[in-house]
Amino acid sequence: MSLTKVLSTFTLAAAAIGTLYSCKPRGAESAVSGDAASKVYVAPGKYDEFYNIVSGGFNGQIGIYGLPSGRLFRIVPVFAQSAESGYGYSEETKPMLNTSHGFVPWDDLHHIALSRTNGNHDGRWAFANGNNTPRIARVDLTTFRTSEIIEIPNSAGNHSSPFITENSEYVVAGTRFSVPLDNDNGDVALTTYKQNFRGTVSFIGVNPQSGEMNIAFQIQTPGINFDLARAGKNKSHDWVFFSCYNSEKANSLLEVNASAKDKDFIMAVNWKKAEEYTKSGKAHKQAVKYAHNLYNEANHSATSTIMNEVLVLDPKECPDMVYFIPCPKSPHGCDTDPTGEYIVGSGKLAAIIPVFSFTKIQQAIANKTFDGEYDGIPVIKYEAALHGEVQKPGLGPLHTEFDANGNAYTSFFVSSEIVKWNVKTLKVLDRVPTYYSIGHLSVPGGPTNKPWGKYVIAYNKITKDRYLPTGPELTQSAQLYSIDGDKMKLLLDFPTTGEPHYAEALPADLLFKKQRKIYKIEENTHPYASKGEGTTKVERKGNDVHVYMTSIRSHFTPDNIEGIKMGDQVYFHVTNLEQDWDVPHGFAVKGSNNAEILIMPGETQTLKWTPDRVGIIPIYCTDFCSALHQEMQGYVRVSPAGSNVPLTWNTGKNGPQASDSTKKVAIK
Amino acid sequence: MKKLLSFSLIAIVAVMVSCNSSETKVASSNDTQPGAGQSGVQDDESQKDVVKVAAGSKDHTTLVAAVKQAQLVDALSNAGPFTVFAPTNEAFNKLPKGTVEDLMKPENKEKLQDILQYHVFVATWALH
Repeated sequence: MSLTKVLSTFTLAAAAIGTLYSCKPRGAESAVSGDAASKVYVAPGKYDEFYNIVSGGFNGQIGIYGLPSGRLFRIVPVFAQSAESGYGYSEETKPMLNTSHGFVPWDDLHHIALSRTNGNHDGRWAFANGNNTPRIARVDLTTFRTSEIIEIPNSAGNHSSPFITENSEYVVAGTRFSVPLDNDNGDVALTTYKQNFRGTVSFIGVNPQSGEMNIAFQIQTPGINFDLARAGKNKSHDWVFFSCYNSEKANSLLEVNASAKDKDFIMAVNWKKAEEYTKSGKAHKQAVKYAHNLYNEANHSATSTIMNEVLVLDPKECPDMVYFIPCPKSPHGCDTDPTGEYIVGSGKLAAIIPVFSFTKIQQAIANKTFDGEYDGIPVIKYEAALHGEVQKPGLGPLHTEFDANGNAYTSFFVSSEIVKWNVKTLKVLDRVPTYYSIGHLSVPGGPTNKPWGKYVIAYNKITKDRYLPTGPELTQSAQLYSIDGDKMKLLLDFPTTGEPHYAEALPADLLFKKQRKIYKIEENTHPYASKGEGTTKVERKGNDVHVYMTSIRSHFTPDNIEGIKMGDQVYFHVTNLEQDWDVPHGFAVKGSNNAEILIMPGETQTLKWTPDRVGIIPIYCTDFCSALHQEMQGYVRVSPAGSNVPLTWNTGKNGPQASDSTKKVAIK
Repeated sequence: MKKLLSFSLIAIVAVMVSCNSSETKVASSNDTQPGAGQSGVQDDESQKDVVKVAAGSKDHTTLVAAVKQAQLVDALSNAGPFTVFAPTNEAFNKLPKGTVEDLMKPENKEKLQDILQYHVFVATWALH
């Protein structure tokens, strides 16, 4: 071979390999900076920096993730039955899902509000909304369990919820669907929307010690739809701001008919004034029905109480309590900056982001700089309330969060991006694409008085090609960006469970040391608890049979039960006697029209079973607990109805060997 | 000729290597040991496991030392469950002189492990 031929061959080869192993990024899509992996890698045995508490949307649950790793630690059952844990299946947890409509096994959980003290995260509770059958849930952040669910009367859809005031005084609930109020005649033609349909915003008080909720008062509003809301801070502490759309009051084809007007509103509510009006007797007592459900950690049981009345204020009788501020256009988000001075409206169809000034709003109210009224409620003049507009930020703004440096981050659904801008100067500083079609975003501490900052997480609605595809149904995608520098940097892309809407994040330190490890068996006050194997028994009360059972590695006591009959309802009350961290036991019955239950150390949980056939039914432990987990089983003998097989129970009594009538053969 | 060949080869390898060097280094500051059990878990609330019970007993110091020497601390800290027939120091003292010291020698570790494992039952028994 000639020299030139060799040279050219190798040059071509080098060039070919050079393009194959191109050092240039593929384009904007793969613009991840070089050190991204080290920023999100949490080494084995180490912990994440933040707990990310993420709404599950249509799965009705809450997902607990770690940041920056994006790992999912737990799915907390809230509004949807969880066959995995027995939530909503066990006798103790079924009452949590009771409503004025009866047992509702599912809901749509959109938003999270973490409890705050003096404006900042305190790590006590996470509140979440049930959008479909209007409810608010409270989750205990030391056990990550749902402690309480309260239903909202006079509401047909609870989207604008939960949003919490600066010192956790109230959690609010605003209606998405206006309908005639509970006490009014609801049997009206749909086209009488404008005359008969109303909205309400509810202020649910939170007991500062126990966290227990109670509906302090509701405010009746015109028939508009409420989207997101935010409480004021510092000087705007007494106020909550709700974004409103469908000021057109359409009842059909809202896609078109609720997009007609150029401006809808932000509704400003002075809840301190509302409190005073309620105290002074201005509120109307209305007879309604709504459920209030509480889970008791001492007896491991939930109780459901139907409440009968609620207090409702009418803005027409309570001047200076509610104001409308015009806001383009079909707003989705309404957010207050950490100082409480600026209120940002994000209009889904708007081409700008209006930023209102609380000081100017107060001046406008004092000087009565109004633009007429909407249903008797004063409308403040747009320019009088406006601090300024962010020009050409992007297409379809939805939601804004803040860092501690005076910057705002807004999500844009239509143009699929996050835009960073300065709250005072209204200048756009940076933009990054999200993959794809971002809904909400979250900055750790973003809605608080002192955001933790560090990251912004995008929760997207469309995934398409981001991950290995899994048929037509795909996980939702999320991206983690660093906001430490001037420019946002994409660090991680991770899948999420359910469909996250809003989320909040707080430092791991706030929760880490508070976590409950076990329930002390001495503190168990469950009426059917067995605190030792010696107290186990099976009791018959007519057709109800109560099995007081214990579980400990690796056996149940009793594990052999006879004397159950067709026609019986059997209640297995299983107490987990373990007092060791992370040693739950599971329990399941063959063919039961029920789920399993998982019982934590020191807890008692009850599975109800109706035998459907004569025979021998096995029971067993479903949660891998020990070396001999496979041996953790039992049998239940079901006899025909009216049988006289006595009720007996034991653990350890085995039958004799079959009698040896033949000669034994020696086994070599 | 040969020089050109090797130069080109080096060039190709250089292209490949230079692009790979932009790959991120994984942070590995705290590699956990393989086969580690739950003995290191920080937990003051749960009931003490057999290892913690033995370690807190002044009558079982010989046993604890033996279990450590036999490298059974992690295994016995795991979910088990375990019933350990735990000889007291007094019991160990009843053995022929030098037996314990001999078993504690590194070359006799397997013998020690074997003897100790005869004292462990993977189950819990209720003493009715």
